[in-house]
Amino acid sequence: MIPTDLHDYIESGVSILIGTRSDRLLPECCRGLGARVENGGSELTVFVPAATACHTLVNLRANGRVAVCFARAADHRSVQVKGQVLAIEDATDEDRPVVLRYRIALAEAWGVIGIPPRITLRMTHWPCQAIRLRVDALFNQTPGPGAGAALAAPASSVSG
Amino acid sequence: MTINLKDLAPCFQGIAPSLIATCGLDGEPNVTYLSQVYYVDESHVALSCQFFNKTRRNVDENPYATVVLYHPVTFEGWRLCLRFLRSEVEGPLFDTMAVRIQVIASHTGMTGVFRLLSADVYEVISVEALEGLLLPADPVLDAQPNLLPSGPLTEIRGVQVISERITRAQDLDFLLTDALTALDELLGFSHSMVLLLDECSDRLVAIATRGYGSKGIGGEVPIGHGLIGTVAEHRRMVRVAGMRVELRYGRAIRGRVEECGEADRLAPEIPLPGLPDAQAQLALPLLAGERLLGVLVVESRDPLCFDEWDEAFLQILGNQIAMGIDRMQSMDEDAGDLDAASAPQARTARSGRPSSAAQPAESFQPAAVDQPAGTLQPAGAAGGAASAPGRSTASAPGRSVAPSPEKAARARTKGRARPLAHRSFVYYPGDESIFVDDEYLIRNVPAKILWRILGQYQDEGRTDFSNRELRLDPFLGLPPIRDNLESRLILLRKRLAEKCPEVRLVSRGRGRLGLEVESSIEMLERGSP
Repeated sequence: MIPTDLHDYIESGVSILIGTRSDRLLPECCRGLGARVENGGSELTVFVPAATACHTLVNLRANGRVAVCFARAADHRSVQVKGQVLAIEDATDEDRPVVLRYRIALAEAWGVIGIPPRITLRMTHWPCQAIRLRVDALFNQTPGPGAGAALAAPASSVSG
Repeated sequence: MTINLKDLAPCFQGIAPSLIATCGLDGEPNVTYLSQVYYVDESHVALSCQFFNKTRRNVDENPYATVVLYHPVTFEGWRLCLRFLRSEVEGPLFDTMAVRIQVIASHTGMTGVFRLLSADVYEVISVEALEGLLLPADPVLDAQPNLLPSGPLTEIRGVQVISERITRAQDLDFLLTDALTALDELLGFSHSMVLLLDECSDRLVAIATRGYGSKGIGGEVPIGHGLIGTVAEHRRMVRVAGMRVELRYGRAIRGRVEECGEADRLAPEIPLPGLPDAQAQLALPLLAGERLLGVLVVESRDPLCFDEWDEAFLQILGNQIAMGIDRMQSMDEDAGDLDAASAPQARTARSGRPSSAAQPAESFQPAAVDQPAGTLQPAGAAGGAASAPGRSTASAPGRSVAPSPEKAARARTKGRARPLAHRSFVYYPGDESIFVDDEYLIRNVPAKILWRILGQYQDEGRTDFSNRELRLDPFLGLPPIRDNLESRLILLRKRLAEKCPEVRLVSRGRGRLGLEVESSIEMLERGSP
């Protein structure tokens, strides 16, 4: 379950990194372009551009194991969600504003750290696939001591 | 099309963070940012391990990883499939990565808290471009600026010219000034500085700068502090691109250390040397054999300003400059020996003076309390020089003389701003500092040199002095070998030129200097010795 105080953070212009693996345990990663907290935080939808997420989508369709890292550029504040895919669908016209808003917010956030918005806005962003996942665990991933500590998961779990 | 890792050099500078995905044997993937991927060779890269984190634990179980690299300017992406091979905890690769991390740790006050545990080496199984990552470029909006022509021919010509200037230089001041000027004019390094080591105090002192106006001279850096001090300590070149990215990462860790109640492990942040908004810095040790002479620093606001080629030819230039410094210092000391040989009485006095054995050697700490913002550590802070004007325990009456009419007339014909008619020098024996008109001027040995010279000018009207008599003067307490007298005089000249141009020290041939005074001066001594 994603705590309420993290909903805005996850839906803001933070970087979204998506980790998956094949059935042979070969890892894969790509960027997400927007996220939406669902069902009060027990589920999450992340959007990935179809053009750059083919390996990721193959993995998710095969086994559904997914890690999603949300990292803020300005201060490296990071959290990681571990989960299981519930559905993968084409993003709809209703989803599109989420992706477009995210794109602008990311360009602003990266602009603060010196990346010209023009470059950020060149990232291919549509069409997207919407990956809906069940949130199994949440971890602090800000670099430094305490990285990997569970935020909303069994206390014994460690990640990051 | 085969992609060579070497062609992705800008991606390995640590400017644009990379992504890494790993997976444990339990099948749970993990994904995170990487601050930097290090190029090792055409088929290997290295990742730094500062914390034994999930990424590292995963590759211990399952050695495969996928990394996405981004070009820091165009944001093109490449996907690298990696296999973890080994962790190195010593050796050249580890040392190179460790010293770079130490620089960031030092600047963010985390020396000893944030450090390299291992250099983790991975085999690169495949490299592929991320097709479709970017929309087609707009021919106008996305056009890349034309870069200045550069390359081996330009730089080799620059090396040649600088080498000639160094060879021809007749004194240390010209050598360093010419070298930094040539770095700017011929090679485009518009912000540079040379700091020389004071072996007595284990501090580096900025003796020549380019691109900072008149500021920065006299700035100090303790060995082991920040970029410059770390380079000196390890005698190893360090290049940091994307300084802002690195510092932000370091500050994130610092924030976590504070949140975890361990703030007492942290030291204050150390400002960047020189440009407060520098994006790329390259510092290299100036060595004569194994002996550290100083550090050469170049910096830029362009994060991609320096690359491996810059490292290579700046190393050549650094060696040339170091040889020049060593030659100047040897010539200076040889001249002193010749002078002394022709005056056996004086030589006896020097070698036999009680202070040389019983008194610790004087430290070379010309302070800089008024240097560029966010720059080298002001030495005055430690010695209390900055607070000296507040003291008012005058213990000696002032002495005052007026300039001769000829000197005053000469001053009027200089065509520059009218000099001040009167200058008041105050010496504080407690911290061996001098203030001029209540403004800090200089301290330690250069201060005592000035005090001695001004005193003799006031008392006897002397305007000619020799290096030899300074070396023999027990009041100055110069060490018997490697006294850095020439460096101290350069510093004194430059500080006078900046703070009190009416009083000048000029060279009158090898081993001789003259005093020129264009105002009346007053000398006061305050505070307890």
